[in-house]
Amino acid sequence: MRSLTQRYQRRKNYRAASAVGRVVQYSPHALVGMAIIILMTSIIIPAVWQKPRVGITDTVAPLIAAVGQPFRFIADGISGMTGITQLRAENDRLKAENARLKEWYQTALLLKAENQSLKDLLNVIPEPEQSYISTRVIGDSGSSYVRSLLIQAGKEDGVVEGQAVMGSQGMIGRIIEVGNRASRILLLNDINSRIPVIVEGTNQKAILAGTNDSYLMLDHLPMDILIEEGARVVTSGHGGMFPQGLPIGKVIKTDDNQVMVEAFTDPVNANYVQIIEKPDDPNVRQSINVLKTPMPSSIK
Amino acid sequence: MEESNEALQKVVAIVRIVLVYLSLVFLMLLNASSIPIFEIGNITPYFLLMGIYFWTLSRPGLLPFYLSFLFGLALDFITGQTVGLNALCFLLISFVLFSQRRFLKGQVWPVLWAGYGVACLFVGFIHLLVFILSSGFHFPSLMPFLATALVSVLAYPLMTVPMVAINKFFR
Repeated sequence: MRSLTQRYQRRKNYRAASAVGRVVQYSPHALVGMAIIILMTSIIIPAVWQKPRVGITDTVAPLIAAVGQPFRFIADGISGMTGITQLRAENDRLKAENARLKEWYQTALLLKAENQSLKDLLNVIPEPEQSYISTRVIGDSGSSYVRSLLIQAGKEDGVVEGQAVMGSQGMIGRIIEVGNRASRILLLNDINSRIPVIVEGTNQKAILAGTNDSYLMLDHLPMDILIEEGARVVTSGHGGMFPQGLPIGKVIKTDDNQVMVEAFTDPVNANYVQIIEKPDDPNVRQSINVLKTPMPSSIK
Repeated sequence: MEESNEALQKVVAIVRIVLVYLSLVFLMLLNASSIPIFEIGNITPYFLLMGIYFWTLSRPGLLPFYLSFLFGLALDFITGQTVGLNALCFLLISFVLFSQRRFLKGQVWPVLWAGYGVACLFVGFIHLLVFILSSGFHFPSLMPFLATALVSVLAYPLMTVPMVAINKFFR
């Protein structure tokens, strides 16, 4: 009886082993098939993988930050040691710029006061105040064909999908994925980036598209429009995605109706970024309060 | 006495295996982190590919196909690249390395280094192909593709020093 059980067990083990062997033998082909299916779904329906990606990135983000920290420390040290001469020149330039900016500051104060008094006269509804979340860049895509950054701020810090992200001098992208502690920014120069903008001076609306290169492209412009080089490009605020007037870049060349834009901030060297919080529009809040107010009994 | 020796050997064996996987995890995190020293413009070397290439040749038993696939998939997730792209690339690289292992095993260091260069060009080409397909046939400049391969090849000797040390620890 015992030997029968043992034989049965041995046969069972052999079958199991041969099944595992078959799987192992064919697994490379199965894995290639699986990789191709995953790749295809990712290209056709990218949203399918968004949740696991956000979850994994969120979990790994502290480790990415920790691995990069010593290298950033070394890079800072090297630039600190080699940059004394550069710092002196930079200091002189900044002093001159500061003197010029002080004059502009006085002019800006005058204009602000004048603007406010005119708005008061016309009873213009005030724009909502903007607030910022400043955070550190901890990672990037590591690929030349995907332009994105990973930042160390998430839902817990008030980051919401779709918020505009600013570099030192202008907008660099928008939030596309938000985890609890980390988020991903799609940079303006990514091929999938599209932003509604306005060209200052002409007041012409357009779509700013990424080219995967250092320059951005103005799309959906009328054929007969004349745009001068150096014209500033800012967010139009259409669609309510971003606040109006965020600086992006300036027009650099106009060949064959192709208007290119050079961004004010190069996102490649961005160590810190500012996320513009979507404010609670006071006008919308006022309307909601009106709706919430109980109707007087006489109307009932 | 013999029992304690056996136990010690088991611990050492486990430590060796853990070190191999830790080196791969470290290279994966390095690939995803923003490091100004290694970046020239927007170019980041293929760090994880260095680990996959080195360990598939040195300790193939520790890096079967499915692990190369999983490491590639994890890299796709944490870097925000097209999911499955690096998984497929690393799997195909593993295939080639396993099939050519006998030839590569007896080769001198420069040949292995050149082999890594070929692997970089192959991965770069697949990345380029998928970009062209997914962007609606937008043909980008070839400069980033070639520059990434070049930077990766130049960084390979430096990055393999700790892996060579771990590999010596196996003997």
